[in-house]
Order: sequence, then C-alpha cells, then structure tokens
Amino acid sequence: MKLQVSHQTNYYYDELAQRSVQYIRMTPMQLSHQRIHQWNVMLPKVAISQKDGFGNDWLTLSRNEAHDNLQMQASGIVEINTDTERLEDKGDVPYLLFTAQSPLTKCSQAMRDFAAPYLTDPTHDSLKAMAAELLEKMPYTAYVTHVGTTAIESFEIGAGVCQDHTHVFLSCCRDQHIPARYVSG
Amino acid sequence: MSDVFAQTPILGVSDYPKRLKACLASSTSKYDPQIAILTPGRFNSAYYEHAFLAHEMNVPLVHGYDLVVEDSKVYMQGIRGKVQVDIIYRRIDDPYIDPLAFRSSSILGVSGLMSAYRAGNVVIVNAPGTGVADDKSLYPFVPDMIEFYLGEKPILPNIETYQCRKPDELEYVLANLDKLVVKETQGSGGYGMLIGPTSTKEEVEAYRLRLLEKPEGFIAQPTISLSTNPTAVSDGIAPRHIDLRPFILSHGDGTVDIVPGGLTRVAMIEGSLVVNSSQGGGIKDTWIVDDSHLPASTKKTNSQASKQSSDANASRHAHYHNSVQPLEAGYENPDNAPMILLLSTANHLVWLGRYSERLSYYDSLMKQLVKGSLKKSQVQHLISHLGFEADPEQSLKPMKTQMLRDLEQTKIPSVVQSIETNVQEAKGVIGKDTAELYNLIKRLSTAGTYRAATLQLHACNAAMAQEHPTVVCFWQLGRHFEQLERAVFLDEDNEKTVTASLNFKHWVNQLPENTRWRELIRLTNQMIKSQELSDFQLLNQEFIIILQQGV
Repeated sequence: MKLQVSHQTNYYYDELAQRSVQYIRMTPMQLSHQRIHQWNVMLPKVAISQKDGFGNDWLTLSRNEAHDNLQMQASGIVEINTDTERLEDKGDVPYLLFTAQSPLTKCSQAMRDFAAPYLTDPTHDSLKAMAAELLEKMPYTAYVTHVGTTAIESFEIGAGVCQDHTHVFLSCCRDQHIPARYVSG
Repeated sequence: MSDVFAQTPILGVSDYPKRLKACLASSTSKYDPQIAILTPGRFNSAYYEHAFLAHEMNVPLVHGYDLVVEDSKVYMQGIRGKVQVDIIYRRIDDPYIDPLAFRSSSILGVSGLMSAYRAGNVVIVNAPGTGVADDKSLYPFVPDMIEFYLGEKPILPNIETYQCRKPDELEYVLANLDKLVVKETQGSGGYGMLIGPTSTKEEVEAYRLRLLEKPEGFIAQPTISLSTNPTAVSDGIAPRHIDLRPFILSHGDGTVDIVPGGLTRVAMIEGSLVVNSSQGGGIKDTWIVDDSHLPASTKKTNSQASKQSSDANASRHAHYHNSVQPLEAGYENPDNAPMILLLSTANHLVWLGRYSERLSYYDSLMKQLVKGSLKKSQVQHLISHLGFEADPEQSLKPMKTQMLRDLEQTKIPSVVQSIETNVQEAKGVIGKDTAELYNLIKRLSTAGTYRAATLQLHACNAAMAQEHPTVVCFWQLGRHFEQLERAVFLDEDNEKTVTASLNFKHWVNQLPENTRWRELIRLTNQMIKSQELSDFQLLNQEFIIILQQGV
C-alpha cells in the first residue's frame, strides 16, 4: 500500500522566546516492510540532521531570533507491506535493552495479575489477545491522562489513550522479561 | 612533620592542572582548542574544586546557562559575543547535561548539547555513559579485564564480591546479611550501604527488603579488617581508616599519564569506616617519595629540597600581582588575546557595583539622619522617592526613627546579602585576596557594626580597582548606573544628573566596539539631551536586555 502523508504541527507560545532548541523526530524509518520513497520535514530554518542511538532520523532545530510560534510540516510518500507480521531484528540495538523498564513503565501487582494468563506461555496470539483485553479494560478516553502519566496510574484509572495502552502493554511484557519496544508513527 | 617534608625529595603534584589541561586538549585534533569547565554551581560540594581548576588551567568556569547550542555547535555567551567551545570538562552527572535528551526537568544542562556532541563539534570529558565504570557490578570483572586487555594477572587482588543478581550468591548474602557489607551498585558517596556487623536487627531487616525488591542493584563483600594509618588528629597521632584515590589521565592518543600521589581520604571519626567526603570524611594530600636518585648523598638531598622550595617561592611571587584570567584561544600572541568574561559574570559584577554604591549611600543617609542635618521636607522627599518604610505624614522625629529602623533592619542587611551573593558568583574573576576583603563585610554587618562594614567597603573598592580592566569596567558601570538611577529617582538638579550620565558614559566607552553595547552611548546621549524620565527608562531597559541576551 502506497501512502501519501502530509502532517502539519503548529505550536503557539504564550511568551516570546528569544532562542529555542528542539529535537524533532518526524521521519519514518526505512525498514524491510516500509519503503520511504520520499520524505521531507519543513521547518522555519535548516536543521542539523543526525541519527540517534536507535537509528531514528533526528533533527536539531536551533533558532536565535525572537519567535512565538513553530510550524512544521512532515510530508512524503511511503510504501508499506501490510501483510508483514514480523521483522528481522537488525541487532544494532541489543534487544535485551527493551526488557528494562523506564520510569513510565513500572509494573504493579494488579497489572501483573491481569497479564498473567496471557504471558505464562506467550505466543503471538496470546499477546494479541492481551492487547484486545486491555482495550476492554481501559477504554480509549481522551483527557483523563496526560503525557507524563505512568502505566500504573492509567491502569488504575482504567482509561487512557494509545500512549497509555502502549505503556501498560510494555510494562507487563518487560516485567516477564519479554523484550517490548515503543514505536510511534 | 614539616621537617620530614622539607628534607625529602618528592615527586611534585603541583603541575596537575597543567597535565589535566594537556589531557583535555589531546581529546581533539583541533589546534589550540577552547576548553571550558561546566559546573552545577556553588551549592555543589565540589564547587571549590571546579573554580580552582578553572583558575589554575586558565579556562572559563561556566554554568549551563552560559552555554548555547546553535547549529549543533556549542558557544559560551561572553561580553564580546559568542565564543565557540571545543572541549567541555563537565562536572555534571549524565542525566542532567541535556534536558532535551535526558532528564527534562534539569536546569543545570544545555539544551542541544548531545546533538553537538554527536555531530562531533564538541568533546565532552568524561564522555556521557562512561559512568558505567563506576557501577559496582563491574568490579568483580576487573581481574578478567586485566587478563584480557593486558595479558597479566592483577598485582592487587580483588576483595571477594558477591553479585546479588546471581541467585545462588543472593542466597548466600541473605543468609549472612549481618556479617557482610552490602552496597548499591549505582550508589556513591557511601550512601545507601549496610555494614552488617555494626547494624541493628531492624536496619538489617529493612535492608533485606530492599535487596529482595531489586537484587541486581546490590553487591556484597565480607567485612575485612581494614588497615589504619597513623594520622595526625587534634590531640596527637591516632589510627584512622584511609583509602587512596589516584588521578589517572587518559590521553586521546591512548597514552596514560599517572599523576604521582593522589588523594587520601580519611574516616575522621575514630573507628568509622566511612571515608567519603560528602559524609564528612577528611582528605589529605599524598606525595610519592622520589627515590630515583638513590643512593643519594645528604648534600644532594638538601640542595634538591632547597631548590624545590625556591622554585615554589618563585612561582608564588609570580602569582602575587599577576591575576590570571582565561583568554580567548586562537590568538598567536597571548598578550593580544582578550579576556573571556561571561555575560552572566558581567551581570554579577554590575550588580556588585550597584549594591556597593547603594550600601555607601545608605551609610551616608544614616549619618545624616543621626546628625540631624536633614530638613523635614528633605526626609519626606527621600521617603516618597526611594521607598522607605516610614510615614511621610508624621513629624520629623518619628519619621527619622522609622527610616533609621528600616535602614538598619531591612535595607542594609538585604544589600549586604546581595553583595555577598554577587561576590560569590563572580569569584572566578575576582582575585582571592579581594574576595577575602568582601568576606569581612558580611561578618562585620552580622555583628551589627554597619559603620565598620561600610569602611571595609572602601578597602574592597580599592581592591576591585586593581582587578583586570574588563572586570573593573563592568563593576564601575554598575556603580555609576546606580548613581545615575538615584539622581533620576530623586529628581536631582540638572547638573547632578548630567555629571552622573557622563560618568556612566565614560565606562560604556570602555566596552567592546562594534557591538550592541554601543547602543547604550546613543541612549545616554539622548537622555542627557531630553532630560526625560522616559529616556532613562529606555536606557535601563536596553542595559538589562543586553546583559540577558548578549551582543
């Protein structure tokens, strides 16, 4: 499937900023199932392009004239093989790294209990079932959580957005030493 | 003890800063690189060391807010504009160095630093991530590392170490918790450890819970009978536990410079095993005896010792009048190189000048009030225009009493504190002796003798006038701006205001040419011509903006 993507983000600041530095990751990765035919991130100024430790395209935008807004547009053409279920691990980032919990993904006993039936003998299907059950348990609800909400917190609230679902899922997997990685797009 | 020292040839350590600087410079192939020391600030327990090394190596001491990243290059904000930094000797922990990459709440770091680092435009020493060598989990592998990398067996064996991440070793540790020393793998400063034999049952049990929750976070070692060393204490010589911290400099080309001696840390309290300085451990200089000339005749030793002491005297004298300041790199002739003065430090110097002036003025006010040389209308004028906590509706005597009280209890102590703060922040560019003089102001005013404090201020001012011209310039700018502002606020007569303006302008003229600083001249002239308060406000604004945003 070939996709033409155009994504615009506009930020408006309450106060005038004299200078700002931003790290911007708005470029999809070239993967075996995902070919990037064309991609461009339009910014108010030319940014320095680098790759970060995970292989992401990382742009650093530094502005030193007064400004009170930022507008960026990410656009391009991507071709995806939608039948792909697995990707081969490239090994440039040790996969065991993704068994370590981050501050947002600490696991609670309640979460452990929830995940137990699906993770005792994990298969692709049991993981998919856990994800589906998680959506039932934590219905998609906006504005009850925020960008800094932890997995434990959103699980307790019993609602959240895709970021929260992902955090909880990651947390349960990592707790059982199943490497799990957060991917956004 | 000092006799032993004078007679014995030792391997010198006073060139450590020079060796450190050479090591730092070796990390880049750039010729004559610009080095800066990044400190978390004066509330850090090692701040004195950061300032000392900066002074000895003749490089600027910067805080996070002094650095900006532009197009993935790092710059210091100086009074002459931006100066690119090639090497940062950073004394801030990894999570705090870049709020965009790591801990976002950090105000100590520099946004964009990791981008500049990854782009190869700045070297960070020690590199981010090298802290892994400090993780105590690595310690048990050191003998293997020695064999693998050097093909040798260790000369000093390891202490037996149990890694609690391993189930069977954890089992042993839990069963013998009261006999072992347990440490956090990622701890430091001697905090968070358990000394089994000297802990209570409750402490041991509490630690057991911590171990069970995160076994991989701990290692354990048997308590060894650690040696003690004869140590000079207040009432003689006594045994104390010590350890040795060597200083090893790894150069960019792979060579290793082992500095002779090092730092000996002492557990000051009798019987204590904790030597860490952050927990009150003491420190002692350590020297290695130079036996390379053995067998040496007594005569030779004596002459060598006397040569060393005369060398030391010579260098002491050289430093006496020569207050060395960091200079911009890249100048063929160091005499032509301008001094690097950070914008933030210049700001502190300006405020030091302002508060010093203010203290003098308050002191003269007190004298006038006490002597009774002010008329009622004059006192009312002062109260309403300078904002004293006194009621201008009252009669003269209670008004004066209120004003005196406000001065003595609020205004003067506040100004003295501000002087102290600004001296501390500008300490890097003010000579040690001058800083000492300022210390006295605080002490005298705490004792309540403000007159003495203000007299001391005269000595401080005399000392400041002898500092580096660039330093003096900003301090004088502050003093004269304060006088100008006071003349304006008090609506003084034309002549007084013009004189103050001209004095201020004289010092602005000393500032770097062809920079935004010169805007202040235009605004001062405009103010002199119009005599309008609004023009003074414009001048004030511009002054503040330049000090904040740079040129």
